[in-house]
Amino acid sequence: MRLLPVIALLAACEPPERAPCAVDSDPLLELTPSGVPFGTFVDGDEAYYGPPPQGGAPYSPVDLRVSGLEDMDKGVLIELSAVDVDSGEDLGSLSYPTRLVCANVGDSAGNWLANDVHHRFYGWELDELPGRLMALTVAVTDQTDQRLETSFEAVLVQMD
Amino acid sequence: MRSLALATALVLMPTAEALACGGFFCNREFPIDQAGEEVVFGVDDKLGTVTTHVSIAYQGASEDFAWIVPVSEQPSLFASSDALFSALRSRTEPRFSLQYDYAGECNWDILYDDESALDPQADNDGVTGGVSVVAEEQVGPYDTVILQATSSAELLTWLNGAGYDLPNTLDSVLAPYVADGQYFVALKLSAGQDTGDLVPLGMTYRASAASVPIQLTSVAATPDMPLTVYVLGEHRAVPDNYLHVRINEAAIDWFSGGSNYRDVISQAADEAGGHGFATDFSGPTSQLVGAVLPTGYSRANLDGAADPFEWIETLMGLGLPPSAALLGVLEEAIPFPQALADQGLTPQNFYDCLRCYTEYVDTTTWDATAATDILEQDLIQGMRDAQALLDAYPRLTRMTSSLDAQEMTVDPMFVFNPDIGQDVPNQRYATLRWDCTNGEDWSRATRTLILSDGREIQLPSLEDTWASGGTEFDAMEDGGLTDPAAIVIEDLGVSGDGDMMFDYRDQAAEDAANFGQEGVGCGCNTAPGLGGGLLLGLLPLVLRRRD
Repeated sequence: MRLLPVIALLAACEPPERAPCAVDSDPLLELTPSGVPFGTFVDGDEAYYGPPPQGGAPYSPVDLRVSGLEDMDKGVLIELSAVDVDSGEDLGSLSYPTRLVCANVGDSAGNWLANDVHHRFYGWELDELPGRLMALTVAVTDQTDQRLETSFEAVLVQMD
Repeated sequence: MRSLALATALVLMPTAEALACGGFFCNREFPIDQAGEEVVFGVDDKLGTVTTHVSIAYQGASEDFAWIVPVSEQPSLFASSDALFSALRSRTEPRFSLQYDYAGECNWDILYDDESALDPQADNDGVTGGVSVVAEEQVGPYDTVILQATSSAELLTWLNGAGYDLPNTLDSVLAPYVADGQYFVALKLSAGQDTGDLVPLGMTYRASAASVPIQLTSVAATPDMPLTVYVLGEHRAVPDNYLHVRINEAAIDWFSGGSNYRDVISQAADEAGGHGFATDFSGPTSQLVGAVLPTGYSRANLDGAADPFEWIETLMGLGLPPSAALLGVLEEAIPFPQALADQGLTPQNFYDCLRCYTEYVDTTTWDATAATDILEQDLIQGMRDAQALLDAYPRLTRMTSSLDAQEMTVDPMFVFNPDIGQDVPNQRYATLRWDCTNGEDWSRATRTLILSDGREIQLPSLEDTWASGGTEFDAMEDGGLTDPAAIVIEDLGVSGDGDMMFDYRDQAAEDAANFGQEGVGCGCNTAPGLGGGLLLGLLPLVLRRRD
């Protein structure tokens, strides 16, 4: 009668696997101003910017979503660069390595998400930016040097 | 090369202070891991200021000590107190306790009939150009300078020219802070000071949120370096640009008092892309009244001490935490006799039992007021200030993460969120229920681990656990219950419940329900060296015990 648990002890144990992000679609990088649902932003819409709470150059938060690639949790390089569409002025650029998270809930379930990506307007003051039409380009490069790039154009509006 | 001894911004080398145990310098609290970074923030929304206290730990020669931290606005500097950190550690360190619940009447006779049954070992033997000087001043033991620069290379050249002797690798790490127009606070020890004089540094500056300049830390970070952040303010603090992780309680080894908590945090942060914080504690600071400076402290009692013995005993009675600063006070007030040092005794031995060395204590020149002055100046005032800091804010949040150097690419920032649950206790409980409804021997009873989220995990009996050569936690680990370490990964902000990115709760509940069922999460031990052969060998033993 007590044999069953012992036999169970001998059985092979396979820890349950976490559902991976789907790789059965073409690679896609999506970009949207933070708080704007993916797929709803239209070029020419507004994007907010403001002073980062910790101080320093103004920033604009954006959300990134990647699908169709695997192993994004092993590390990617995120690059952001912005220009003023009308004047051609450089509105700052930055890059940093990070890892993405495979979402399993919400509208982004099955996609890789980057958390709170902040474009920084290095060299610019808050009052120099409102009303400018910014072209923001974002690229994500994975460990195999596969690079995805996308961009949007948005009118900068200072957040309250 | 001096650069190896560099202590950059917030870089804290592991320092397990070796203090004798048995008296004044015995750790009277729970053992606490002091390795890693610790920062305390007080965020004053009304004034628009942030006050930061940074614990500075350093091992190396005094003349090599150098410390640099970028700050968004010009700060005012002050010496802080170790007592602040030790008080916050002891009051907010997560603790994991297993409560026991017995269903039915367990037969405990075997405890007395066969004492070896209590000893798992009986069956289980196998078993770390443009640099401007904005201000210069002496702060506590430090010579400080506040700088601004237009290029990181020039900043580095300036610092090296001023004797900081920093590695060139710092250039690229400083660059984003220079580009951001930040100020740089640089410290060296003042002449005559040594590393034993190091105290936390305090800074107050204009800002609306707390942020840790972690990128600079990457220069000298240790692998999986713990980062603990305390935020004082109006509401519960949350990571703003890092993810928030909720720990999978099944990943905690409840049977060892949560000794693997740091590992769980490390894994959970990794699951959040290397940028995640867990909340260790959030609660009102009313719980911290007297946490740093005991409410019973009164210098009048000390001033009235007739001799050094009475003075030190009065001091002991106040419950001050042992610290290097306290030891320094004692050494100044009641000098440690060279004769005892020659005998191999330590100052801690001496002060822990002053009356044991009566003949070595000079009472003829005793001045209680002078001794208390030293105490007040070198210790109590700092504690008073630290206590005032805690008292000035209604709520404290403690958050923990773990980062490798390559993950230190984004400075974590913290904001307040009044909408989510505000209280997170640091004391966590699970219940272990023993089912002896049929009068089983305790070692054969079915046991169920009940977690706070309601999951019930049926564990092997003690006998089966011993037979497996592993532990209850091993069984849960092999059954996949301890993975993932983060049961929820969420993006929190200044309001609302945030956005959930990963939620494993339903699956975890299902895993828990299935655990212990035949062929699922079977509690076997698959550790190398403990294969089926060993388990088969133990089978007759298990069966024999059933007889």
